[in-house]
Amino acid sequence: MKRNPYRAAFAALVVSLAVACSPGGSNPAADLQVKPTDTKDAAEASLKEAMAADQAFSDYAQTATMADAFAKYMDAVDGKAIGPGQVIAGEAAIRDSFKDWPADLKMTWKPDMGHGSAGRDLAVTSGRWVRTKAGATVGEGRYVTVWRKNDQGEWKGVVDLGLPDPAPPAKHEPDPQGRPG
Amino acid sequence: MTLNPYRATLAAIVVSLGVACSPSGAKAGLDAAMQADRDFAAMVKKDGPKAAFLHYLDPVDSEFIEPGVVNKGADTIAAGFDQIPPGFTIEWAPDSGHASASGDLAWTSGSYTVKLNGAAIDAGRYITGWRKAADGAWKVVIDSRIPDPPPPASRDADPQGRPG
Repeated sequence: MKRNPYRAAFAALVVSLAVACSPGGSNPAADLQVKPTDTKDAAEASLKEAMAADQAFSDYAQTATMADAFAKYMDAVDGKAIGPGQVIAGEAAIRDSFKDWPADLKMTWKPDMGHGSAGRDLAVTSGRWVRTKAGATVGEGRYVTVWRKNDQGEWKGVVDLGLPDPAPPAKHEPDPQGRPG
Repeated sequence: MTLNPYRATLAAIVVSLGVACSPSGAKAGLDAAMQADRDFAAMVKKDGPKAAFLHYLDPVDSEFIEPGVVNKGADTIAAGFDQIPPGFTIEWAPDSGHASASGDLAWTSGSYTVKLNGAAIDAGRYITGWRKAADGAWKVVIDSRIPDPPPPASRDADPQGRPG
């Protein structure tokens, strides 16, 4: 049988494209069956999923330790917590940063805004956080967390930054004896 | 001219692999967002912060998170620079980040320094979320930063020798 060179070239093209573009397990581009008209919906769905993960993270931190909550919801390798003057990277270092965290110091948070990717694999959430100690508020502020969907379809935090509110102005109680100053 | 089938096959493979494996999605998105971040910093230096923020921030959806307040929209955020003193500037450089496989969302992070007449008055780290606009330009949608802790107070000896 005589082979048609064009047919052979075409077959090679199809095969090589099929191989190169195959999902290959962890190729996130394989999930991108997104038509332009679906982009906005996909981005919103992405954000909704990441916000649910963010809320679950806060809920989990009410019963688990902060170290365990961060270990569960932040990416074990790529997760970074940005604090004043430092970037704490990876599960071991993040766990270590909570080693002196008092047992009665609790933190809750709630996402209230953010953005999602059309590829359903990346999102950023932001919201208010509150720290309480023995039930009294000892700090509050706002955070930003970036979320990435891993190969198992779970959203994991890859970077987190918390910004405290400015300290309230010092209270100036009037002196009970009426003394000035 | 006759086409050698083997050569044609090889050419087809090379071309298709080149197309299919070209940097796309996450890698291209991160490269573009990092470049946009560097260009943003360069424009601040060249044209001042207000012009640069108006150019690089998403006009409607941008959110700037400051201690205790979230400013929204390019005009509102850029208006924060209306009263800056002469000699005020902000410098930064991204050193890390990540982008979505769909190439439409990315974040970058790096160190920043706020200067007044060349002297640093604030420094720390920032995180910026970027979204690709319909025209392909990357625009900032969220930004926050955290200052470094203040340096330990220097304990110069009291000139009169008083303790403490």
